[in-house]
Amino acid sequence: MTTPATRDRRVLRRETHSPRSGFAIGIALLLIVASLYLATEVVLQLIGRDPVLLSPTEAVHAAAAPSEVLRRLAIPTGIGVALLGLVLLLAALLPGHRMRHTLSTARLAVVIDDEVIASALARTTAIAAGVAPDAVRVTVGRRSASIHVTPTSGIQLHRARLSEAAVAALDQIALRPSIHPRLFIAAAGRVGA
Amino acid sequence: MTSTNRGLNRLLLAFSGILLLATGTAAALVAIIPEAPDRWREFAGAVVTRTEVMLSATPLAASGVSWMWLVLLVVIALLVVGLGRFIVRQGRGSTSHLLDATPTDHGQTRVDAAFAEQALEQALAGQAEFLGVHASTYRVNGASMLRVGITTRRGAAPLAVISTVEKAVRGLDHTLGTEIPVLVQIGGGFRSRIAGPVRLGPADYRTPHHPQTSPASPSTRTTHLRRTPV
Repeated sequence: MTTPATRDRRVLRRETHSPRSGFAIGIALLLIVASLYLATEVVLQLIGRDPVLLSPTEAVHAAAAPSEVLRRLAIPTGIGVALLGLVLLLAALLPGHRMRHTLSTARLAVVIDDEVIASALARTTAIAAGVAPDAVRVTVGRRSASIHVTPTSGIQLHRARLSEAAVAALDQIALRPSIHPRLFIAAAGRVGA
Repeated sequence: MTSTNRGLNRLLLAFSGILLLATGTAAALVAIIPEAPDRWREFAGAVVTRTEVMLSATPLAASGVSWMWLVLLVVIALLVVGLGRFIVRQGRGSTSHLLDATPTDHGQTRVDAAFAEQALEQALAGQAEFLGVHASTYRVNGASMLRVGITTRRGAAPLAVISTVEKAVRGLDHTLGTEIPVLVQIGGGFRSRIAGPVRLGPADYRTPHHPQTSPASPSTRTTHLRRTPV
């Protein structure tokens, strides 16, 4: 029997990681097509008809004693196939983080897209800075967020206060993993921004 | 929340990745290294000869072809069926059952997932900062779990969104008399980008079409039951 906490952890982990379904379905489809083609050639050879491209026996003989043309072709093809294999292997082994953060309340397991965190952070910062929402640009990563503020020309921004507002807003949400904001104030302001 | 076997997905990727990596590297190396082609010819020739001997040693009665070909065809058929099932099994796991109460002398109570889904969707429909609410139910560890997906306007405060949803969920708990586990997914996306930012008006702004926005209040439930075709 699993406890609610274990269940929520499992569900949230699945929500924040890619299932790799696209890749897996693609590979499975390719394997199916290749298998069906091979089966077709085998059947054609068994009933003594002409092959679609190359009968299995001919193909094996050609591969066992490669001609010069085939040998030249093998270099780029081999490298290409190896690279594709490397991509698949990396997809299998890398965690595949999705751009999301999680949190838990007493009643709910919550997963939030980074995009939503960014726009909320942008709004908080814009209000704290007294600038228009368009003058703040936020990018949220896994553990950090960069906040770019373009001040209104002639009005000094209070750097520490903006930082504080961002930190407070993020602390309040208590995301997992936690996000550290980094504040960048543009040197040149904008008129009427 | 789906029951997709992610380990199997990664296993298939790892297996085919290693296979392609090895074949590709071997093919390129054989072509690049000067003395490798002769070695390959020698080795592959021996394998081909041995296979031909085996094929002629396993004739299918009277026809003269080896029954190994038929074995190969069966293996291919099994592989194709297995891969087909593997593809179809992706993304499954949703259920239409919310809960089955333990039977008593007077009978048993069953609740459809659609009841909870529509109750939550209706309770959250009038919120100004929500662009879309979609609830669905999945089977997780042998029990039903609700998933509430919410598309918010730009700038919506996550904590406010969560507390609104929590209120609606508590209302549902009250109605059902039990707590169903809930996952909330808060997203933005294309709709949120074109819809404009959060209103800076009164926080409890209500649209006239949704007079009941309180969490699954009795009146909301009545409306819901009348509207839903059984």
